Amino acid sequence: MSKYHADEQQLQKLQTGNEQEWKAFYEDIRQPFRLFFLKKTQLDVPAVTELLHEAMVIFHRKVTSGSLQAPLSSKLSTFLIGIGKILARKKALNQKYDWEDDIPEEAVQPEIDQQQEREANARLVDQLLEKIGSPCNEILELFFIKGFAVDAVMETMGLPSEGATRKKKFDCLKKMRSLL
Amino acid sequence: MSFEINPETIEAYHQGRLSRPDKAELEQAMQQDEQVRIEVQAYLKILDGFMAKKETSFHNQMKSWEKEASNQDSDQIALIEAYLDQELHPANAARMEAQMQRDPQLAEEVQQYKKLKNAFQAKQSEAFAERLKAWETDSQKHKRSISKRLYYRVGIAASFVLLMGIGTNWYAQQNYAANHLIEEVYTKPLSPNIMGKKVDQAAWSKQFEQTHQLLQNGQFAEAQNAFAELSQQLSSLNMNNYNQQLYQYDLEFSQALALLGANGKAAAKPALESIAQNPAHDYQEKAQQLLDKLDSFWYQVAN
Repeated sequence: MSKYHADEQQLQKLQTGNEQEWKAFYEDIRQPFRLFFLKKTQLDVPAVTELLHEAMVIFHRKVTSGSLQAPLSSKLSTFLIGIGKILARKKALNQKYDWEDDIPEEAVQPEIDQQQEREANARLVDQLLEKIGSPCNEILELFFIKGFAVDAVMETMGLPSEGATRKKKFDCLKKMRSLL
Repeated sequence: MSFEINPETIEAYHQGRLSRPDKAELEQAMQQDEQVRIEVQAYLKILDGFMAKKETSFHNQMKSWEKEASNQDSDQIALIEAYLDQELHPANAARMEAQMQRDPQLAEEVQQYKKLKNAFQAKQSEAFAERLKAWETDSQKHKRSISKRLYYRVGIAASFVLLMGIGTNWYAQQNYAANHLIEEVYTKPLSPNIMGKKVDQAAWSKQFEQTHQLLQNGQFAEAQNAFAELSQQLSSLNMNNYNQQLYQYDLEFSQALALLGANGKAAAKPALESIAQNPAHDYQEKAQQLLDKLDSFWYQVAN
Protein backbone atom coordinates (compact mmCIF):
# COMPACT_ATOMS: atom_id res chain seq x y z
CA MET A 1 0.00 0.00 0.00
CA SER A 2 1.27 3.50 -0.85
CA LYS A 3 2.19 5.73 2.07
CA TYR A 4 -0.19 8.35 0.64
CA HIS A 5 -3.24 6.15 0.99
CA ALA A 6 -5.48 8.88 2.46
CA ASP A 7 -4.54 11.26 -0.36
CA GLU A 8 -5.21 8.56 -2.95
CA GLN A 9 -8.68 8.07 -1.50
CA GLN A 10 -9.23 11.81 -1.68
CA LEU A 11 -7.98 11.85 -5.29
CA GLN A 12 -10.53 9.18 -6.16
CA LYS A 13 -13.31 11.38 -4.74
CA LEU A 14 -12.04 14.44 -6.62
CA GLN A 15 -11.93 12.49 -9.87
CA THR A 16 -15.72 12.14 -9.74
CA GLY A 17 -15.90 15.93 -10.15
CA ASN A 18 -18.24 16.23 -7.17
CA GLU A 19 -18.51 19.92 -6.30
CA GLN A 20 -18.73 19.34 -2.53
CA GLU A 21 -15.52 17.29 -2.59
CA TRP A 22 -13.73 20.03 -4.49
CA LYS A 23 -15.04 22.70 -2.16
CA ALA A 24 -13.89 20.73 0.90
CA PHE A 25 -10.45 20.24 -0.69
CA TYR A 26 -10.26 23.97 -1.46
CA GLU A 27 -11.15 24.90 2.11
CA ASP A 28 -8.53 22.50 3.50
CA ILE A 29 -5.68 23.61 1.28
CA ARG A 30 -6.43 27.33 1.14
CA GLN A 31 -4.81 28.43 4.41
CA PRO A 32 -1.61 26.33 4.24
CA PHE A 33 -1.09 27.28 0.57
CA ARG A 34 -1.55 31.01 1.20
CA LEU A 35 0.67 31.03 4.28
CA PHE A 36 3.39 29.09 2.46
CA PHE A 37 3.64 31.73 -0.27
CA LEU A 38 3.17 34.71 2.09
CA LYS A 39 6.15 33.40 4.04
CA LYS A 40 8.34 32.41 1.12
CA THR A 41 7.60 35.05 -1.54
CA GLN A 42 7.07 38.78 -1.78
CA LEU A 43 3.58 38.18 -3.24
CA ASP A 44 0.84 39.94 -1.27
CA VAL A 45 -2.48 38.45 -0.12
CA PRO A 46 -4.50 39.10 -3.32
CA ALA A 47 -1.61 37.83 -5.48
CA VAL A 48 -1.28 34.70 -3.38
CA THR A 49 -5.05 34.07 -3.65
CA GLU A 50 -4.78 34.45 -7.43
CA LEU A 51 -1.84 32.06 -7.40
CA LEU A 52 -3.92 29.54 -5.45
CA HIS A 53 -6.72 29.76 -8.03
CA GLU A 54 -4.35 29.32 -10.95
CA ALA A 55 -2.68 26.35 -9.29
CA MET A 56 -6.08 24.85 -8.47
CA VAL A 57 -7.22 25.17 -12.12
CA ILE A 58 -4.13 23.27 -13.29
CA PHE A 59 -4.59 20.73 -10.52
CA HIS A 60 -8.28 20.34 -11.43
CA ARG A 61 -7.31 19.72 -15.07
CA LYS A 62 -4.78 17.08 -14.08
CA VAL A 63 -7.24 15.33 -11.79
CA THR A 64 -10.31 15.37 -14.02
CA SER A 65 -8.39 14.41 -17.18
CA GLY A 66 -6.95 11.43 -15.32
CA SER A 67 -3.33 12.50 -15.81
CA LEU A 68 -2.82 12.46 -12.04
CA GLN A 69 -3.31 8.89 -10.89
CA ALA A 70 -2.53 6.69 -7.91
CA PRO A 71 -0.04 5.60 -6.71
CA LEU A 72 0.94 9.11 -5.66
CA SER A 73 4.54 10.09 -5.01
CA SER A 74 3.57 12.94 -2.69
CA LYS A 75 0.61 14.34 -0.79
CA LEU A 76 -1.94 16.25 -2.87
CA SER A 77 -1.20 19.43 -0.90
CA THR A 78 2.52 19.05 -1.69
CA PHE A 79 1.69 18.55 -5.36
CA LEU A 80 -0.46 21.70 -5.39
CA ILE A 81 2.24 23.78 -3.68
CA GLY A 82 4.70 22.42 -6.27
CA ILE A 83 2.44 23.80 -9.03
CA GLY A 84 2.22 27.10 -7.11
CA LYS A 85 6.00 27.33 -6.94
CA ILE A 86 6.51 27.20 -10.68
CA LEU A 87 3.66 29.68 -11.21
CA ALA A 88 5.19 32.05 -8.61
CA ARG A 89 8.55 31.81 -10.32
CA LYS A 90 6.92 32.67 -13.63
CA LYS A 91 5.11 35.66 -12.11
CA ALA A 92 8.29 37.18 -10.70
CA LEU A 93 11.10 36.43 -13.09
CA ASN A 94 13.49 38.81 -11.33
CA GLN A 95 13.02 37.12 -7.97
CA LYS A 96 15.24 34.32 -6.80
CA TYR A 97 13.39 31.99 -4.52
CA ASP A 98 15.08 29.79 -2.00
CA TRP A 99 12.20 27.60 -0.90
CA GLU A 100 14.20 25.85 1.82
CA ASP A 101 12.02 22.76 1.67
CA ASP A 102 11.69 19.46 -0.16
CA ILE A 103 8.59 20.26 -2.19
CA PRO A 104 9.48 19.76 -5.86
CA GLU A 105 8.34 22.33 -8.40
CA GLU A 106 5.78 20.79 -10.74
CA ALA A 107 6.40 21.14 -14.45
CA VAL A 108 3.35 22.95 -15.79
CA GLN A 109 5.06 25.62 -17.86
CA PRO A 110 3.69 24.76 -21.32
CA GLU A 111 0.14 24.81 -20.00
CA ILE A 112 0.58 28.32 -18.60
CA ASP A 113 1.87 29.55 -21.94
CA GLN A 114 -1.23 28.29 -23.72
CA GLN A 115 -3.57 30.47 -21.67
CA GLN A 116 -4.41 32.95 -24.46
CA GLU A 117 -5.06 30.18 -26.94
CA ARG A 118 -7.33 28.47 -24.43
CA GLU A 119 -9.37 31.62 -23.94
CA ALA A 120 -9.77 32.03 -27.71
CA ASN A 121 -10.95 28.41 -28.01
CA ALA A 122 -13.44 28.96 -25.18
CA ARG A 123 -14.95 31.93 -27.02
CA LEU A 124 -15.16 29.86 -30.20
CA VAL A 125 -17.03 27.11 -28.37
CA ASP A 126 -19.45 29.70 -26.96
CA GLN A 127 -20.26 30.84 -30.49
CA LEU A 128 -20.66 27.30 -31.82
CA LEU A 129 -22.91 26.24 -28.94
CA GLU A 130 -25.18 29.15 -29.71
CA LYS A 131 -25.32 28.11 -33.36
CA ILE A 132 -26.08 24.40 -32.90
CA GLY A 133 -28.94 25.11 -30.51
CA SER A 134 -30.89 22.71 -28.32
CA PRO A 135 -30.63 19.87 -27.40
CA CYS A 136 -27.03 19.52 -28.69
CA ASN A 137 -25.75 22.53 -26.75
CA GLU A 138 -27.28 21.16 -23.53
CA ILE A 139 -25.92 17.65 -24.06
CA LEU A 140 -22.41 18.88 -24.82
CA GLU A 141 -22.43 21.25 -21.86
CA LEU A 142 -23.48 18.43 -19.55
CA PHE A 143 -20.71 16.18 -20.86
CA PHE A 144 -17.83 18.56 -21.32
CA ILE A 145 -18.40 21.41 -18.88
CA LYS A 146 -20.35 19.93 -16.00
CA GLY A 147 -18.49 16.63 -16.35
CA PHE A 148 -21.63 14.45 -16.12
CA ALA A 149 -21.27 10.70 -16.73
CA VAL A 150 -23.25 9.06 -19.57
CA ASP A 151 -26.01 7.74 -17.29
CA ALA A 152 -26.50 11.16 -15.70
CA VAL A 153 -26.79 12.86 -19.11
CA MET A 154 -29.22 10.13 -20.25
CA GLU A 155 -31.42 10.76 -17.24
CA THR A 156 -31.23 14.56 -17.41
CA MET A 157 -32.01 14.67 -21.14
CA GLY A 158 -34.60 11.87 -21.06
CA LEU A 159 -32.70 9.78 -23.62
CA PRO A 160 -33.66 6.08 -24.06
CA SER A 161 -30.29 4.40 -23.38
CA GLU A 162 -26.65 4.99 -22.64
CA GLY A 163 -25.75 3.89 -26.17
CA ALA A 164 -28.18 6.41 -27.64
CA THR A 165 -26.78 9.11 -25.34
CA ARG A 166 -23.22 8.37 -26.42
CA LYS A 167 -24.23 8.43 -30.08
CA LYS A 168 -26.04 11.73 -29.60
CA LYS A 169 -22.96 13.22 -27.96
CA PHE A 170 -20.70 12.41 -30.92
CA ASP A 171 -23.34 13.39 -33.48
CA CYS A 172 -23.56 16.79 -31.78
CA LEU A 173 -19.79 17.08 -31.77
CA LYS A 174 -19.75 16.33 -35.53
CA LYS A 175 -22.43 18.94 -36.05
CA MET A 176 -20.37 21.45 -34.13
CA ARG A 177 -17.33 20.60 -36.24
CA SER A 178 -19.31 21.15 -39.41
CA LEU A 179 -20.09 24.69 -38.28
CA LEU A 180 -16.42 25.58 -37.98
CA MET B 1 -8.64 10.46 -46.86
CA SER B 2 -8.14 6.76 -45.98
CA PHE B 3 -8.13 7.23 -42.18
CA GLU B 4 -11.64 7.40 -40.78
CA ILE B 5 -12.15 10.43 -38.56
CA ASN B 6 -14.10 9.46 -35.48
CA PRO B 7 -14.88 12.11 -32.81
CA GLU B 8 -14.84 9.41 -30.10
CA THR B 9 -11.25 8.48 -31.04
CA ILE B 10 -10.22 12.13 -31.10
CA GLU B 11 -11.77 12.72 -27.69
CA ALA B 12 -9.80 9.76 -26.31
CA TYR B 13 -6.66 11.17 -27.96
CA HIS B 14 -7.35 14.58 -26.42
CA GLN B 15 -7.74 13.08 -22.98
CA GLY B 16 -4.63 10.91 -23.34
CA ARG B 17 -6.73 7.73 -23.15
CA LEU B 18 -5.82 6.31 -26.56
CA SER B 19 -3.73 3.14 -26.60
CA ARG B 20 -0.15 3.50 -27.80
CA PRO B 21 -0.72 1.74 -31.18
CA ASP B 22 -3.93 3.71 -31.88
CA LYS B 23 -2.21 6.94 -30.96
CA ALA B 24 0.70 6.14 -33.27
CA GLU B 25 -1.70 5.29 -36.08
CA LEU B 26 -3.60 8.56 -35.66
CA GLU B 27 -0.42 10.65 -35.53
CA GLN B 28 0.96 8.91 -38.58
CA ALA B 29 -2.27 9.58 -40.47
CA MET B 30 -2.06 13.25 -39.47
CA GLN B 31 1.48 13.44 -40.83
CA GLN B 32 0.65 11.73 -44.10
CA ASP B 33 -2.74 13.23 -44.85
CA GLU B 34 -3.30 16.95 -44.50
CA GLN B 35 -7.06 16.53 -44.55
CA VAL B 36 -6.87 14.23 -41.51
CA ARG B 37 -4.62 16.71 -39.72
CA ILE B 38 -7.04 19.58 -40.38
CA GLU B 39 -10.00 17.54 -39.17
CA VAL B 40 -8.26 16.33 -35.99
CA GLN B 41 -7.04 19.82 -35.19
CA ALA B 42 -10.53 21.23 -35.64
CA TYR B 43 -11.92 18.74 -33.12
CA LEU B 44 -9.04 19.37 -30.74
CA LYS B 45 -9.79 23.08 -30.91
CA ILE B 46 -13.40 22.43 -29.91
CA LEU B 47 -12.40 20.06 -27.12
CA ASP B 48 -9.80 22.55 -25.86
CA GLY B 49 -12.50 25.19 -25.88
CA PHE B 50 -14.76 22.99 -23.78
CA MET B 51 -11.93 22.36 -21.35
CA ALA B 52 -11.24 26.09 -21.09
CA LYS B 53 -14.93 26.71 -20.40
CA LYS B 54 -14.90 24.00 -17.75
CA GLU B 55 -11.93 25.68 -16.12
CA THR B 56 -13.61 29.07 -16.25
CA SER B 57 -16.61 27.54 -14.56
CA PHE B 58 -14.35 25.97 -11.91
CA HIS B 59 -12.57 29.30 -11.45
CA ASN B 60 -15.89 31.03 -10.84
CA GLN B 61 -16.84 28.36 -8.32
CA MET B 62 -13.58 28.98 -6.49
CA LYS B 63 -14.30 32.70 -6.37
CA SER B 64 -17.55 32.01 -4.55
CA TRP B 65 -15.77 29.58 -2.15
CA GLU B 66 -13.10 32.23 -1.60
CA LYS B 67 -15.76 34.81 -0.77
CA GLU B 68 -17.14 32.50 1.93
CA ALA B 69 -13.72 31.58 3.28
CA SER B 70 -12.30 35.11 3.36
CA ASN B 71 -15.15 36.29 5.57
CA GLN B 72 -13.76 34.20 8.37
CA ASP B 73 -11.52 35.70 11.06
CA SER B 74 -9.11 32.78 10.81
CA ASP B 75 -7.43 34.45 7.79
CA GLN B 76 -6.44 37.49 9.78
CA ILE B 77 -5.43 35.46 12.84
CA ALA B 78 -3.19 33.22 10.73
CA LEU B 79 -1.55 36.29 9.20
CA ILE B 80 -1.04 37.96 12.59
CA GLU B 81 0.39 34.75 14.01
CA ALA B 82 2.85 34.40 11.12
CA TYR B 83 3.81 38.05 11.59
CA LEU B 84 4.38 37.69 15.34
CA ASP B 85 6.42 34.52 14.76
CA GLN B 86 8.51 36.54 12.26
CA GLU B 87 7.81 33.97 9.60
CA LEU B 88 6.38 36.31 6.94
CA HIS B 89 8.49 37.25 3.94
CA PRO B 90 10.10 40.67 4.70
CA ALA B 91 7.95 42.29 2.00
CA ASN B 92 4.78 40.95 3.62
CA ALA B 93 5.97 41.87 7.14
CA ALA B 94 6.55 45.42 5.86
CA ARG B 95 3.05 45.45 4.34
CA MET B 96 1.61 44.31 7.63
CA GLU B 97 3.43 47.08 9.50
CA ALA B 98 2.30 49.70 6.99
CA GLN B 99 -1.26 48.46 7.35
CA MET B 100 -1.00 48.67 11.14
CA GLN B 101 0.13 52.29 10.80
CA ARG B 102 -2.94 53.06 8.74
CA ASP B 103 -5.34 50.97 10.78
CA PRO B 104 -5.10 51.47 14.58
CA GLN B 105 -7.71 48.77 15.12
CA LEU B 106 -5.47 46.21 13.39
CA ALA B 107 -2.47 47.49 15.40
CA GLU B 108 -4.47 47.02 18.60
CA GLU B 109 -5.51 43.52 17.54
CA VAL B 110 -1.90 42.57 16.84
CA GLN B 111 -0.94 43.88 20.30
CA GLN B 112 -3.69 41.81 21.88
CA TYR B 113 -2.49 38.67 20.12
CA LYS B 114 1.06 39.42 21.21
CA LYS B 115 -0.10 39.62 24.84
CA LEU B 116 -2.09 36.44 24.43
CA LYS B 117 0.88 34.65 22.90
CA ASN B 118 3.19 35.80 25.72
CA ALA B 119 0.61 34.68 28.26
CA PHE B 120 0.46 31.24 26.64
CA GLN B 121 4.24 30.99 26.73
CA ALA B 122 4.28 31.97 30.41
CA LYS B 123 1.57 29.43 31.12
CA GLN B 124 3.55 26.80 29.26
CA SER B 125 6.65 27.60 31.36
CA GLU B 126 4.58 27.46 34.53
CA ALA B 127 3.06 24.13 33.52
CA PHE B 128 6.52 22.77 32.77
CA ALA B 129 7.85 23.95 36.14
CA GLU B 130 4.92 22.17 37.79
CA ARG B 131 5.76 19.02 35.91
CA LEU B 132 9.39 19.24 37.02
CA LYS B 133 8.22 19.49 40.62
CA ALA B 134 5.98 16.46 40.17
CA TRP B 135 8.82 14.42 38.67
CA GLU B 136 11.04 15.36 41.56
CA THR B 137 8.43 14.24 44.08
CA ASP B 138 7.98 10.95 42.22
CA SER B 139 11.67 10.33 42.03
CA GLN B 140 12.11 10.77 45.78
CA LYS B 141 9.81 7.83 46.31
CA HIS B 142 12.37 5.53 44.75
CA LYS B 143 15.52 4.24 46.34
CA ARG B 144 18.59 5.80 44.83
CA SER B 145 21.41 3.43 45.75
CA ILE B 146 22.81 2.61 42.34
CA SER B 147 23.65 5.84 40.61
CA LYS B 148 24.15 9.48 41.24
CA ARG B 149 21.39 11.60 39.81
CA LEU B 150 21.63 14.34 37.33
CA TYR B 151 18.89 16.55 38.69
CA TYR B 152 21.13 18.10 41.34
CA ARG B 153 22.85 19.81 38.49
CA VAL B 154 19.73 21.42 37.11
CA GLY B 155 20.04 25.11 37.77
CA ILE B 156 16.95 26.90 38.97
CA ALA B 157 17.96 30.02 37.06
CA ALA B 158 18.19 28.25 33.71
CA SER B 159 16.11 29.77 30.93
CA PHE B 160 12.92 28.11 29.80
CA VAL B 161 14.49 26.75 26.64
CA LEU B 162 17.48 25.47 28.55
CA LEU B 163 15.16 24.00 31.14
CA MET B 164 13.27 22.18 28.42
CA GLY B 165 16.45 20.57 27.17
CA ILE B 166 17.89 19.82 30.57
CA GLY B 167 14.54 18.86 31.96
CA THR B 168 13.98 16.34 29.20
CA ASN B 169 17.38 14.82 29.80
CA TRP B 170 16.85 14.93 33.54
CA TYR B 171 13.52 13.19 33.29
CA ALA B 172 15.06 10.54 31.05
CA GLN B 173 17.97 10.01 33.43
CA GLN B 174 15.66 9.84 36.40
CA ASN B 175 13.38 7.27 34.91
CA TYR B 176 15.08 5.55 32.00
CA ALA B 177 18.82 5.31 32.71
CA ALA B 178 19.82 1.65 32.56
CA ASN B 179 20.72 1.71 36.26
CA HIS B 180 17.34 3.03 37.18
CA LEU B 181 15.51 0.50 35.03
CA ILE B 182 17.45 -2.33 36.63
CA GLU B 183 16.65 -0.99 40.07
CA GLU B 184 13.00 -0.70 39.18
CA VAL B 185 12.53 -4.31 38.09
CA TYR B 186 15.03 -5.94 40.41
CA THR B 187 13.77 -7.82 43.44
CA LYS B 188 16.23 -9.14 45.94
CA PRO B 189 15.68 -12.91 46.14
CA LEU B 190 15.06 -14.72 49.38
CA SER B 191 18.10 -16.56 50.64
CA PRO B 192 18.36 -20.06 49.16
CA ASN B 193 17.73 -21.53 52.58
CA ILE B 194 14.49 -19.66 52.92
CA MET B 195 13.47 -20.13 49.31
CA GLY B 196 12.08 -23.40 50.16
CA LYS B 197 14.43 -26.15 50.31
CA LYS B 198 17.51 -27.47 51.61
CA VAL B 199 20.43 -26.72 49.31
CA ASP B 200 23.28 -29.11 49.78
CA GLN B 201 26.05 -26.95 48.63
CA ALA B 202 26.48 -24.19 51.15
CA ALA B 203 29.14 -22.70 48.94
CA TRP B 204 26.68 -22.32 46.07
CA SER B 205 24.19 -20.58 48.37
CA LYS B 206 26.82 -18.19 49.55
CA GLN B 207 27.93 -17.41 46.03
CA PHE B 208 24.31 -16.84 45.02
CA GLU B 209 23.88 -14.20 47.71
CA GLN B 210 27.23 -12.58 46.97
CA THR B 211 26.41 -12.35 43.28
CA HIS B 212 23.16 -10.59 44.02
CA GLN B 213 25.12 -8.21 46.21
CA LEU B 214 27.39 -7.44 43.25
CA LEU B 215 24.32 -6.59 41.17
CA GLN B 216 22.94 -4.37 43.91
CA ASN B 217 26.28 -2.56 44.12
CA GLY B 218 26.27 -1.87 40.39
CA GLN B 219 29.24 -4.23 39.70
CA PHE B 220 27.48 -5.50 36.63
CA ALA B 221 30.30 -7.17 34.70
CA GLU B 222 31.38 -9.18 37.75
CA ALA B 223 27.77 -10.05 38.56
CA GLN B 224 27.15 -11.17 34.99
CA ASN B 225 30.08 -13.61 35.04
CA ALA B 226 29.14 -14.92 38.47
CA PHE B 227 25.49 -15.49 37.46
CA ALA B 228 26.66 -17.45 34.40
CA GLU B 229 28.79 -19.63 36.63
CA LEU B 230 25.94 -20.20 39.10
CA SER B 231 23.66 -21.25 36.22
CA GLN B 232 26.15 -23.85 35.06
CA GLN B 233 26.43 -25.30 38.56
CA LEU B 234 22.69 -25.36 39.20
CA SER B 235 21.95 -28.58 37.34
CA SER B 236 24.52 -30.47 39.36
CA LEU B 237 22.91 -29.54 42.67
CA ASN B 238 20.75 -32.02 44.44
CA MET B 239 17.58 -29.98 44.24
CA ASN B 240 13.99 -30.87 43.43
CA ASN B 241 12.60 -29.72 40.08
CA TYR B 242 10.42 -27.02 41.57
CA ASN B 243 13.29 -25.30 43.37
CA GLN B 244 15.64 -25.77 40.49
CA GLN B 245 13.15 -24.00 38.24
CA LEU B 246 12.78 -21.15 40.73
CA TYR B 247 16.56 -20.57 40.83
CA GLN B 248 16.86 -20.99 37.10
CA TYR B 249 14.31 -18.22 36.48
CA ASP B 250 15.96 -15.95 39.04
CA LEU B 251 19.41 -16.49 37.56
CA GLU B 252 18.23 -15.90 33.98
CA PHE B 253 16.56 -12.62 34.83
CA SER B 254 19.36 -11.42 37.13
CA GLN B 255 21.95 -12.25 34.49
CA ALA B 256 19.97 -10.30 31.87
CA LEU B 257 19.93 -7.29 34.25
CA ALA B 258 23.66 -7.58 34.82
CA LEU B 259 24.18 -7.75 31.05
CA LEU B 260 22.10 -4.60 30.60
CA GLY B 261 24.13 -2.76 33.22
CA ALA B 262 27.47 -3.98 31.88
CA ASN B 263 27.01 -4.00 28.12
CA GLY B 264 23.78 -2.11 27.38
CA LYS B 265 20.51 -2.78 25.63
CA ALA B 266 21.75 -4.73 22.60
CA ALA B 267 23.51 -7.28 24.77
CA ALA B 268 20.61 -7.77 27.17
CA LYS B 269 17.73 -7.75 24.70
CA PRO B 270 17.93 -11.38 23.44
CA ALA B 271 17.92 -12.73 27.01
CA LEU B 272 15.04 -10.46 28.03
CA GLU B 273 13.06 -11.38 24.90
CA SER B 274 13.52 -15.06 25.63
CA ILE B 275 12.13 -14.52 29.16
CA ALA B 276 9.30 -12.30 27.93
CA GLN B 277 8.26 -14.96 25.43
CA ASN B 278 7.90 -17.62 28.10
CA PRO B 279 4.51 -17.21 29.81
CA ALA B 280 5.52 -19.66 32.55
CA HIS B 281 8.59 -17.65 33.50
CA ASP B 282 8.37 -15.97 36.90
CA TYR B 283 9.90 -12.80 35.44
CA GLN B 284 7.99 -12.75 32.15
CA GLU B 285 6.00 -9.64 33.03
CA LYS B 286 8.99 -7.74 34.35
CA ALA B 287 11.08 -8.65 31.30
CA GLN B 288 8.34 -7.35 29.01
CA GLN B 289 7.99 -4.18 31.06
CA LEU B 290 11.74 -3.63 30.82
CA LEU B 291 11.81 -4.31 27.07
CA ASP B 292 9.08 -1.70 26.53
CA LYS B 293 11.12 0.86 28.38
CA LEU B 294 14.30 -0.05 26.50
CA ASP B 295 12.49 0.64 23.23
CA SER B 296 11.19 4.01 24.38
CA PHE B 297 12.36 7.43 23.28
CA TRP B 298 13.30 8.26 26.87
CA TYR B 299 15.76 5.37 27.09
CA GLN B 300 17.58 6.73 24.05
CA VAL B 301 17.77 10.18 25.65
CA ALA B 302 19.07 8.79 28.92
CA ASN B 303 21.66 6.35 27.59
